[in-house]
This record gives sequence, C-alpha cells and structure tokens, in this order.
Amino acid sequence: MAMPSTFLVLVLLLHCGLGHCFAAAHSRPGVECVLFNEEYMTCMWGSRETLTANYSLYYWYENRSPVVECKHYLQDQGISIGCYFNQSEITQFQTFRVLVNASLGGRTLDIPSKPMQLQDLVKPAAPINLTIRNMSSNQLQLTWTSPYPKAQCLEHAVKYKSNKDTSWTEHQVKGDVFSFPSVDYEKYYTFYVRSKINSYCGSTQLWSEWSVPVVWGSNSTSKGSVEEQLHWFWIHTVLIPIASCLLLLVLLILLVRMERVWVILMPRIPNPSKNFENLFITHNGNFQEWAGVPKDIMESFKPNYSENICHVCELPPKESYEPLWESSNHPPVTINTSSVPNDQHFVANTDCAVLRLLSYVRRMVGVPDTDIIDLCDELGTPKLLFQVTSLSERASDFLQPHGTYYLCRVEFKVPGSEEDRTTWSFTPLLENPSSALTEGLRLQGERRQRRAARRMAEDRRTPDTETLTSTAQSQGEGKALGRDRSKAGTEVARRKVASPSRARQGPSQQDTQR
Amino acid sequence: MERMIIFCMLFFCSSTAPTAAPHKIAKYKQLLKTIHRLEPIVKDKDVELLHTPENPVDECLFTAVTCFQKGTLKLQPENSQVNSTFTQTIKALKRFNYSGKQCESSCESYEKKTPREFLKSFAKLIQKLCKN
Repeated sequence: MAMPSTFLVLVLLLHCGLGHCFAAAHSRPGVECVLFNEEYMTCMWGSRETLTANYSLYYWYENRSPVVECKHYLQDQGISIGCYFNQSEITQFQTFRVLVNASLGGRTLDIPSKPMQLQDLVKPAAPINLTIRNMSSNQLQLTWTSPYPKAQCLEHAVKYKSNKDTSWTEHQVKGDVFSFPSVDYEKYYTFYVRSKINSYCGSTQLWSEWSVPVVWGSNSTSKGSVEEQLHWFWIHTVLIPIASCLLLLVLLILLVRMERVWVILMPRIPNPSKNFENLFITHNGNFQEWAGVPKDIMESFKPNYSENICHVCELPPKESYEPLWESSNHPPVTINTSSVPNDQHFVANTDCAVLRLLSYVRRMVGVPDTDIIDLCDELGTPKLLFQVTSLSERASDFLQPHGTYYLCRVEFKVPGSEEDRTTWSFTPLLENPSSALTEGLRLQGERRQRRAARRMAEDRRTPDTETLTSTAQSQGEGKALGRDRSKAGTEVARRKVASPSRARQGPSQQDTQR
Repeated sequence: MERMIIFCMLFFCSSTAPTAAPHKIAKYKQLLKTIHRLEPIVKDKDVELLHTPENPVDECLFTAVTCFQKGTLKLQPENSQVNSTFTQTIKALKRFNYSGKQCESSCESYEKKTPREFLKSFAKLIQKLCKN
C-alpha cells in the first residue's frame, strides 16, 4: 500500500518539476541586451504578460567595477521590464555581468544571465541617405551613409525587387557602394539596405533594421503604355486582317468579272505549233526528213550497215611489179597518178566504196579539196565517179578489174549562151600524158560538145532538160550510147588509170577501142 | 636629369606615407583572418594549456600581444593532413609586430586556457585593436 502511494508522489513531483521547468523555460528567457549604434544599451528581461513581479537589475564588469544597480528602468504599466544604459555606462571588450532578481513573498525570483561581451551585441543604425546614380550603359550605383561612427567595422546587405519580380534578391556588400549591373528601363525597382558589425570588430549576428527604401524606374506610365499597347495590338490583329481580306475579295470579283483585266494579268500562252506545221503535215513527223539529214548518214545509222575494208597499196616506182597486198578476194586495179616529181601508180582494191577510193587517191596525190577528181580509162572515158554521192556504191561497179585508170581533174566550164550548165572538162593529172590519151579525151570532149549543142537546141523547143546521170538523155542521140560509156555528150579530158598487169602508160588499147 | 629622378623619388615616397595608417588596419585584418583560419585545425585535447590574457587593459596591450605570440609557438596541428596550412599560418602569426604600452604584469599571471579559447581571446584582442 505504501509502495504505490510513494510511487504516485514521486510521479507527481517529477511531473510538477518538469512542468515547472518547462514553464520556466517559456516564461523566463533570460536577459537580452542590445547596444544601439554604440550610443545606448537596453537590457530587457520580459514583457508585461510574462512578468509576475517587479524585478531589479544589477550589473558589473568582471574584475573591473563594483556592482551597481540600474539607474534607468524601462517600465510598462508600472512593471519594470528593462534597463536603459547610456554611453558612459557602456564599456566594450570587458566582460559584462548582469543580475536580475525580485523578491516575491519572501522568495527570491531570479532571471539567469550569461556573461556578455558588449562588442558582440552592437546593433548599428540603419543606413540613411540612399541615393541612386545612373552610370553609363544600363548600370545603376546605389550609395548610402551610415550613422555608425566606424565605417570600417560595417558590412552591408542590399535587397531589391522590380515590379515584375516575385521575390527579393539580396546581396552582401563590403563597401559603401552597390553596383547594379543591368537595368531594365521598363521595370520599377525598389532598394533596401541594412548593416552589421563585421568580423574585424566583433562577432555579432545582429543586423540593423532595413533602411528607408529608394525607388528607380517608371511606375504608372508603364502600366498605361501597356494598356495602350494592348489596345493597339487588338486593332492590329482584328482590323488589319479583315481589311486585307475584304480588299482581296474585291480584287477577285473584279478580276473574274472584267475580262480585260484578266487578260492583262493572265496573258494567253503562245502556241508555237504554227512553226512546226511543215514538220507535222508535210513530212508526217519524220524529223530527219524535215531537218535535211543526208541519206548516207541515215543509212550509216542503220544497225546492219557494214563496210568492207578497202586495201590499198602503193607500187614501187620501178617497172617490176609485185603486188604488196596479200589477202583480198577482188583483183586490184592500178591507178596512175602524178605527184611531184614524176608520175606514180599504185594498186587499189576495188571492193570498197567509190567515195572512199576517191578520198584515198586525193590524199595520196595531194589534190586540194576544192578540185574535183575522177578516174578515166585508157580510152579517155571518164568513169564519172565524182557524181557518186552514196556510200553504198562500190568502185567495182565502175572500174574493171585489172584495169588501168588515170586520174583526171574535172573542170566546170562557165555556162555560156551556147553551152549547157552541165558542161565540164577533164584534165589528166599526169606530167607526161600519152598523146593517145590526150587525143582520146579531146575527141570525147568534142563529141560531148556537139551533143550538148543539139540538146540545147531541143531544149529551146521542149523545156524538159535531161540530167546527165539518167540514161534517158541518150534517147535523142543513139550514136552517143553505142559510142562511149559516158552519159552526156560533153568535152571530156580524162585521166588515165592503168591496170596492174601493165605498168606502163600504153596507148595501144586506146587505139583499138576507138 | 638627376633633379627629375630625385623629384620622382620624393613624390613616390610622399605618396606612400599617408597610406601607413590604413596599412596597420589591413595588417590587423590579415592577422584576424589568420587566427580564424587556425581555429579549426589546432589540436585542442591533450595539449598544454596556454596563458591567455583576457580583456587586457589598454596599458598592458603590448604585454598581452607578446604573451599571445609566445603561446602560438606552443600550438600543435590537429592531424598530419593540416600540417602544411598550420605551418604557413604560424609563420604569418610570427611576422606580426606590435608596439604599444607595456605594463608590469607578466604572461604567467594570466589564466591558462585551452588552445581554442586562447585563439578566441587573441581574436578579441585584435578586434579591439581594429576598432580603435
């Protein structure tokens, strides 16, 4: 029975003690002293609500001064809540002790306090004379002065905000000047400054109060301009699009309605098909025919076109004739030409195109391209190879195998009143043409001339002219056909072409044939 | 030419003279920084306690400073890692020269305290010098 009761008492005491301590901690925080700008000091130990008795304060400096009671109490409704010390009572860098007690009904109530270093309890006054200067290039400079006498002991903090920011920005500053780097001229800024004793003069965490604010920028006008801007913006977003749409619509209607305007803006596309009527209608789409591509080129593009190689070789100048060519199906012919210094002759294979043979001979002799050449046989009859235009015509059609032919140059006589336009003469390109050859050519030429004159007389009566190449020419002159193999009666001087079996310019054949 | 050189030298010297006073405060500030740097790296346990002048009067400032300087010689680093910083800092402390009033009390008359307390008191003394 005694056990539980003592236990209960103990619990109660503990509870009460704890509660007491707790209550004490709440109600008696201790003595707090603050030096205001090193001009005066106040030590507070409570407020009207927390204090139950009228306390009194005693202070002294350790090892320095005797215990003295506070001379100036601070009172709140009759109860002392603090003590006021003036400058003469304050000594820094000396340990300061305080004792606050009260007697209440025989008991002594005590407010505990620690020894204090007064230099660590300095609260400087807030900075004053805040000024803003506009430096160049969007920089602001904030300057201030502090009522605290020793400026080297202070450090400061600046806080600022623009009208568009949501929170304050704080900066620590060592000196008396704060540079604000980038200013937005459309914003409205507010600046505050406060000070603290720095670590060179004391170890304190007591900041001063914030200073009186200083402002920068435009406030009311910016808002107004924003409204105005909004107004303008609405006009622009609504009015201008509608207006432009209407204008576009009007233009469109105008265009559609008025044909003349339409034609100017959208001209008719020209049709070039008129220039090509010839091609489409006359030549029936055959582009080559319309463009005038020569027939032999056309033929050469044909896939199964083939040309045989024309073997040509040169006889040595001596009479001893040895064929230099080796393989050929067709027997060759000998062509006599002249070139500097003396007459030359060479063997040619006739199984090749006439044009090719002529071009080879031309190259061999060195005849200029302006001269037209032809081959004449020993009788003086020109082969009229120069009239051949097609690559398909073979020399073997014109030249006899093992025949001897002479190279002649064709000269066109200027057409006069008596002669036909197709009159031409042949000159042998030989240095020493045989007399028989020359004679033969001359006679042939005379016959041709007579025939030409007759034909011209007939032409005057009947207007159709006969071409040289057609055999119908010789209808009127039966004589001409049997006589010579030439097509028209004209003066012809021929070149001699010799056969390989005869390596000489022999006129004997000529005589016999004539 | 010579006159110009002399004039330049005089000008230079005269310009450096006014800076002597703030130079002192800069020295004190530097010393204070050094002490603050030393506080965390100094060995506090199992070391010899040092005579610490506490709030010396103005007349005994020089004695106090000398006492503090003597005490710093006995400081030890906390561990081997901070040894280099410690040596540098101690050197800086040794370079400090102070001329002031001397009083009769000796260094041994002051109370002995732990190295950290010693350094705190030293800092307080320098703060007093800075402030005045």
